[in-house]
Amino acid sequence: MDDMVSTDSLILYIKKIFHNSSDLFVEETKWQDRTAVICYYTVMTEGAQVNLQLELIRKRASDGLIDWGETAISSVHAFSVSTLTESVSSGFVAVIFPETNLLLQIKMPKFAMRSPNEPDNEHVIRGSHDGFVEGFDANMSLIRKRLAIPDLVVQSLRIGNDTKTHINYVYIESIADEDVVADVKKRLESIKSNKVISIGQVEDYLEDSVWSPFPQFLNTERPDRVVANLLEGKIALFTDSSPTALIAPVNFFSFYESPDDYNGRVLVGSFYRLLRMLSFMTAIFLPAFYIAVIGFHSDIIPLELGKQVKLAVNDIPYRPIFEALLLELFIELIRESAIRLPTPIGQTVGIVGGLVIGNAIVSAGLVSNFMVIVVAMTAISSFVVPSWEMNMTIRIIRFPFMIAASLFGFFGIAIGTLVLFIHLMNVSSLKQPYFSPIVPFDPSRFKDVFFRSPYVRLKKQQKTFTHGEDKEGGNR
Amino acid sequence: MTFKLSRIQFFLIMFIAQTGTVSLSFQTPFINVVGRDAWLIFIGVGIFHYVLLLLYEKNYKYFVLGPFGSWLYKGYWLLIIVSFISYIDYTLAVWAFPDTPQIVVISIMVGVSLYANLSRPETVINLSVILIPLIPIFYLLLLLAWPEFVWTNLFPIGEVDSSRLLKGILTSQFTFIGIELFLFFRKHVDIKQKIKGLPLLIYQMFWLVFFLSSVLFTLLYFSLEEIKMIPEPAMYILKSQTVTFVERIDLFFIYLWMMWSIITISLFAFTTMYVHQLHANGHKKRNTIIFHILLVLLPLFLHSKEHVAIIQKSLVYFHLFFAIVVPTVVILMNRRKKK
Repeated sequence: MDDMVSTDSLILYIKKIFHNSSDLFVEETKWQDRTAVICYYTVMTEGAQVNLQLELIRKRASDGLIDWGETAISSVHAFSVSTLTESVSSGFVAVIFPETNLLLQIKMPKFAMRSPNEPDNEHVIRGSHDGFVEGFDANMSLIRKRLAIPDLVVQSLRIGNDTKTHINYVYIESIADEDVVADVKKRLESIKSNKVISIGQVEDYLEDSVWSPFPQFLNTERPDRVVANLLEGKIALFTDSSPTALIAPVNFFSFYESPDDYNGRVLVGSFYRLLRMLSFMTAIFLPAFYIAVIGFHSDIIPLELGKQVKLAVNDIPYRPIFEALLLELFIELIRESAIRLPTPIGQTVGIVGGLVIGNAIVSAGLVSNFMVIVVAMTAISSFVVPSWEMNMTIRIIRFPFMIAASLFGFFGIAIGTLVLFIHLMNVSSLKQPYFSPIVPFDPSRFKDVFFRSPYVRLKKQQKTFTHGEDKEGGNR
Repeated sequence: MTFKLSRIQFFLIMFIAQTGTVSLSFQTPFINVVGRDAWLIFIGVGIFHYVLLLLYEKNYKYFVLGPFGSWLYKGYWLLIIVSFISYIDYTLAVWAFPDTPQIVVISIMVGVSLYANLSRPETVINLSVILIPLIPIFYLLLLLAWPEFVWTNLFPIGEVDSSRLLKGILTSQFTFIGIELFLFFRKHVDIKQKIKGLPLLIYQMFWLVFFLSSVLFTLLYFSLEEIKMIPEPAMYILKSQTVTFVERIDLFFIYLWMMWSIITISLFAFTTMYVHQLHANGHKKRNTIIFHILLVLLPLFLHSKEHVAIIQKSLVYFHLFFAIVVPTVVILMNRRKKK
């Protein structure tokens, strides 16, 4: 406001900036012997609370305090249109003083928030049962509750010109690798999209290879999982509107670890971790293996079993690959519909789909009962993974294996395995090796991958692809 | 191409390069020449292998090749890879794909090597890790034949004459192929990790146990007359074994061996491109693609089993030249220069 403007024209101007939105409150008010303009969104701020705060600040001003506007939740800035729009859009109260060209910002946004319940997709048996919600402050409080240390750092920035989405990244200064922190900051700042709506969209921009089927960020809604990863030197990213935290850099095996591993006994935790690793093999290879055996290598089956398999398969009018694809499609449809429907109906769909239609499809001679066993076993194996993203990845990558097996039998599976292995070796998460400790091969780290060792020990992410001195991330 | 190797990575590269393709086929020609004495002679050959490794370890710093020497080695490795690919293709045609066109199988195998070699050096270096759980499984399956072993097949010994002994030693050199990689990759090993002494002896023992046991299993399972008719004894041993859930274990093993061989090929291709980059500037990607196109085309000229056998037999002589003669000359020359 270079020139003095009348309060009325300022109010009109502000209304114009906010396009006369009906939830915008803009009123003139008396401030000692002067006039001021109060501005906020009624849906994001509570009016009664605003009055209380204004009374408090008015009293400070009338007492003649020099820093009358500086309280725990308020601050005074030079007026500018951008400060005004940013404050009001964030749910703050803006009080403009036209005569002095100042803007008093009171931070007291009010948002609807659900309670921090345990996330539906990351249940644990023992341990904490709270989860993140759609608000960063609440989420951060859950983390700070577990990590009462001054080294826990939060950095914030806004991305997306149209959405001004708040992104926060959290790390432990004394443990996190400073290069990785700088890299995350650089990548976030380089996001040029005008509209950043979801955390998944941010993940796309941050990933090293966006076309890889493998997730390079660990998604979690559990504060205990975030804390465990922060203590390993990783960085967690949050948006204001999502309960999901992104964690990086991670390796492939991180997706197979569950907080339950460390809540249970050593042997139990190790057993289930091994079981999960085995489930990766069955989820990917089992249908392909079955297709290869039926289509190419039926002589590997023992005679007694072979007779039954042949009897079952002979009645099916098409090749095993079509049988498998039909059943897989069926399973995916059940899964997708169960997610979209309310929980009780979703469960009913699962039972009707799995048992009734499954039985009918075999009786109708569309697929063999052996194929039903294989596909059901595969589906169960893929659900064992404690990460939803990795679960989806596994569900997708078994299709190329099935096609390779139907074209070349075991040869196709062997070649596919090598290609998958090479791909995993090439993938990186924030430039750090995704397939560590296989790249670089370090047998001493294998025990932590397959077994849950007693007493939680700090495992740092392998920093470089090559063997060398500076191989671990973090300042130690 | 800059990379650093740990001691384990280095020995793993060596082991897979040396054992890859030859592990299936060297036993028959070797036993055919020296008979029951094969196992005893192979122990002697093992000592020679260890001496060679010790000499390499002592002198690897003096092994510095010029552009001409590099081209010689590149040609040698090209020959090795082509011979390996032809042999794998032939074996797969016998055991698995009699009707699939040669070019399809070869292209797919070479495609995997191309993908690995277009990736970071660390990818090829660590590719062998996939085989670590598979090798013990192979041995466990072979051990299923234990009740059928005829222990008296190992005796009497000492029947071999000197000309057959020399021929046997020459044939056993198949198991040495790839040993020269020591000279090329040794300097990349972390200087903080010791190779000399016990680590080298442990590697030698792994190599010896691997090959010697395959000779022993063959001798114990087959009579000398039978061995003459069986080109891949390990495959036949596995074929004759059945376990509760699987009737034909050999069918699993053939693909395990194929993966093993593809990784060996990838390692030799990597070494070739690495040596090429020592004296060439840039165009790594283009050169790698051209090299792999050659790897697809050249095996197509080897039409029959006879062609493959001729190339394989000649490999031993090339090996002696490139693993013993050339290193000796280069090391002596460089030592003299340094003095």
